[in-house]
Amino acid sequence: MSAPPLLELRGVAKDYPAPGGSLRVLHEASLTVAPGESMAVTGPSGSGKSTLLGLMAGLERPSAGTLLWRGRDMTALSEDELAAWRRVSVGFIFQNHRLVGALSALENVMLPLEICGVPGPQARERALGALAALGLAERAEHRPHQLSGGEQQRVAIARAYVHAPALILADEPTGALDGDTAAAVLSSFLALNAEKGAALVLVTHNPEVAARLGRTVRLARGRLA
Amino acid sequence: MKGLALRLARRRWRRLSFLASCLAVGIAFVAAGDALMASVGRAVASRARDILGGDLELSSARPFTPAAEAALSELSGRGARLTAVTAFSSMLTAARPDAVPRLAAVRAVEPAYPLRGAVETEPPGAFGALFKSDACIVDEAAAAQHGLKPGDRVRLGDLTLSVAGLVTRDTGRTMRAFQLAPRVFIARGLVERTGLARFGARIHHERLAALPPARDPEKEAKAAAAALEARLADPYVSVTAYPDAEPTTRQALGRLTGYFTLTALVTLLLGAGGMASGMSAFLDEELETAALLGALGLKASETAAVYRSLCGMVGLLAGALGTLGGWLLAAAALRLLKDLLGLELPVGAPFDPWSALQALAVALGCALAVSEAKVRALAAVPPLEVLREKAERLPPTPRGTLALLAGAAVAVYLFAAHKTGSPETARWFAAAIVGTAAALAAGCAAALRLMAAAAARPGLPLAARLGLNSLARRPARSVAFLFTLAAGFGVLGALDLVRRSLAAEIAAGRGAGMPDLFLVDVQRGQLDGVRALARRWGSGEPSFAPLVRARLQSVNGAPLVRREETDLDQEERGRQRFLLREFNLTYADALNPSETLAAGSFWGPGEAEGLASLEESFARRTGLGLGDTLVFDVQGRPVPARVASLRRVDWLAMRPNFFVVVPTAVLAAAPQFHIGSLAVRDPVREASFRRALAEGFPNVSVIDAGAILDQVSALLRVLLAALKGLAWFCVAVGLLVLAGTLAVGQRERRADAALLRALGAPTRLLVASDLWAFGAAGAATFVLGAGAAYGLGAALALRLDVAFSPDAPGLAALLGAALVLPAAVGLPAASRAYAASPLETLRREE
Repeated sequence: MSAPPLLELRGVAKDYPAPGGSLRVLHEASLTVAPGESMAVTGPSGSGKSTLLGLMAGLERPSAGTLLWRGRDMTALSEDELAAWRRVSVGFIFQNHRLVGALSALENVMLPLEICGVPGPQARERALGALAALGLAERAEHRPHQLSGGEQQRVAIARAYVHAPALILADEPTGALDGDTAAAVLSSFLALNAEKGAALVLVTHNPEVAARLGRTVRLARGRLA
Repeated sequence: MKGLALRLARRRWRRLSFLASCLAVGIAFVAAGDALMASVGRAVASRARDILGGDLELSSARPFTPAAEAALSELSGRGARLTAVTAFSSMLTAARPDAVPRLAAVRAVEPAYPLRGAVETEPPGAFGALFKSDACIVDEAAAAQHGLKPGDRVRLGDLTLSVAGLVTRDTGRTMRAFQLAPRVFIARGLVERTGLARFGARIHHERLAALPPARDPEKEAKAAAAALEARLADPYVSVTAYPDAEPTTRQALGRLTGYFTLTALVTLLLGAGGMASGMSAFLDEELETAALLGALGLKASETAAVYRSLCGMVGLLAGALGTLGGWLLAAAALRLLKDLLGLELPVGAPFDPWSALQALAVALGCALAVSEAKVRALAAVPPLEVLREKAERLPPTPRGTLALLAGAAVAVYLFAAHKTGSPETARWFAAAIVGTAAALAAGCAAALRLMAAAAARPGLPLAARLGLNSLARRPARSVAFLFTLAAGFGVLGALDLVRRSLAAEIAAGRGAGMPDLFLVDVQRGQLDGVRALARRWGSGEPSFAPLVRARLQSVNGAPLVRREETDLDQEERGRQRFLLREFNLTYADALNPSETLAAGSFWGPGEAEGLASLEESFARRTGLGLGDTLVFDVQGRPVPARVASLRRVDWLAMRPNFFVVVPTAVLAAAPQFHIGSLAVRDPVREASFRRALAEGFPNVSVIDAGAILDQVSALLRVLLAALKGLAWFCVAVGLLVLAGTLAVGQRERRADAALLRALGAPTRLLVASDLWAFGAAGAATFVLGAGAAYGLGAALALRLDVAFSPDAPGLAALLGAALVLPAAVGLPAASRAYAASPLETLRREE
């Protein structure tokens, strides 16, 4: 018997309340993500890409369908149980870096480790290593507003990988960067992913970016093509 | 631009209304203070004629000279009506065997009295009976003290009089609590027959005048008083026009107004500070919108105009809300004053358009001034920097902040000077505010540094580090938050410390062993006899001191000249009144136990040189100091004295004490009488003492100091309760600002919470981190508030001449609220952030 996929969506749908009833933004989506696989999710604006990513991360609850993690049904878990799963298994990269402004680059990268309960010195060492891997060792003590856009996003990438999650979810991670910077950041990102062997689901508008990943799924009007 | 500003205001009306409400509370308080005091002032002025019983009053401790009588005849020739009053204090005794003599203020009047107002009696018409037989009428207090009713008989000196009626309303009754002794009216023709008008007795001679009708009676009365004063040029005659009557009431009113105004000003400053911090955060958040407007082609000056308009709207809204709130507050306070103090006031403060305009102008000025530097910075940031996310917040504006602080200090001084009419009070107030603000700002910065250092310590739990960093790494917002709270609690604590110190002073005055009876008018030949009686019936040794009446003729060779009071500020008016009034001097060659030397040296026995020792606060108020040369007029004889020392007097020791003391050899031969104090504390012994004294020394008056202290403490209780109410008002503003600051930080807090949850943080971590932040803020507020309370309390006590006895446990209990308040207000406000969907929050932030 073959091992279950890392993540499986079975007929997952999502409705949002809207004037006069509810609006279905994602229709019965079914797909699987295998360990170490990389996948691009593309589609026009408003097609439901970010909603799909939120559902995969357990940040949204499906209105219908089931979400399975290594064969285990996740839809019945409480918020805190989902948070506990996320902290160990998922790394998230947002379009706009989403660093905590009050913390330094190093402290931002340490956050997932500390939330997992890794002791301070160890967390510090691992976070410094993650930053160094992305060429940011010198910027460890800088606050987010003291970094360039590319550096901020690389800190966010380091934060996503530092606790070695099995799944990385990235929502247009280079969408807010200029062309050269975006290319450089993407290269570092994909190289790191290859090295870490995590499964990667990346939302993007850019066909060139999508082409660099293992496979592409397309969303149109809330439906998987 | 106007349309754009209005649209933005409509979109952000909740936030802007909140900012306006912070300032509106302060404006309301200032407006209420103005309306309230103006109303009380009008009430006092309108009753001043009745209080005086005429338009003009001439009074003197000596019989009027022929020159004064001639001037009065001339006034009468011009159509004025005149009447004479003789006033003195004496012991009144009910004609019963067991009756206890008690001090009464006797007013011997003519049938024409009063020329203004009326004496109402029960039964009606009893006043007329005074001039038909040996009769008197007594006020309710005298009736209650002696158990009198119409038809009873009383003894006054050598006379026995029948009580024709009770006075239900007479002239001069404004604040019953301030009356010293009950009043008794007799016919002026009876004074000689009482035998009390002997040599050395303290008789006060008065003439009342009612001027012919005039278009502006107030101005006419003042002009007539000034003319009479100039013509008589007699230092022993004081002339009072009715608008200037009741200086004590006016002085009390002035102090109350001053205190109220200063408290209102503190509230206004707190409100303005709260609005400033809220406005600053609001403008920070407008960075993106402003950049977008710039990118769309709006010039920097136009962007600034849009945001100035928004700030102006906040100011106008604050002014309007404040005016309305102030009007309602004044109406409520007037009713409270009427009920609590029994003041006869016109209830209902009329709406004053001029005050409303002033409030609008102050609010508008405040709103524009506190935001100007930020508005300029907002307009100056290059749009592209913001849109490329290279600038996420407004740059600091140190110059603008410094200019704002300097402007605020000047404005506080000018405003306080305008409101209190006292440059000295304004200087003191501005210095106290600036000093406290500087100390608090430094304290807040130090607290944040401490938090940052604590957060960097290895081994600290993640929640603690996140919580402490959320405060320490956002210093601009955290300083505003801590400063406002610490200032609010500091003011509350300071007022409470002063209130407790005042209460402690009063309690000390009522302590066991303190004298409770004062003796007045003891003639030199009676001293031994009275002392023997006091020793027999009292406990402990009675104290006696000679009293010599005098007037100050000159200071350092310059004769004292009365200046028109309208030309003088409050300090100068007070100084003039002090220097021109009749002085009670004493002589001694050693300090008594309630005196300590504050400066200079006190002479020894046998000193014959003309020296003087002044009481410290008297010297401060009159501007006199060591080395000044004074010349007193003692019964027409000049007595020079050089100020050789300053003394500190414990007035609550209830001993005979004086502002001015000279060597025995200088004044021993002058006309004099003695005053004394003794402790009895036993009603039966006190009654026996009073009876024995009245029998042996009928001219000696007894003043019940214990009863006066009780009256004073009852009045103070009401005032102190009002003070406490005012202080809580300040804290309420602080809380409003706290809630606002939290609301302003809510967006950032929600974003942080959403991100942490996306990273897998459980809710308890978010709650714990906020608890650390609010707990640290509470602890900092507690420490800084306590420091501010001690500093301000000591300064206020010094200013009010109150011995400062800080009550640390009481202060800690009061400021305990500061410890829990940030968490109590903050956690419920943050709960929305915990409950919000992380993805939705993060999407909104995109």
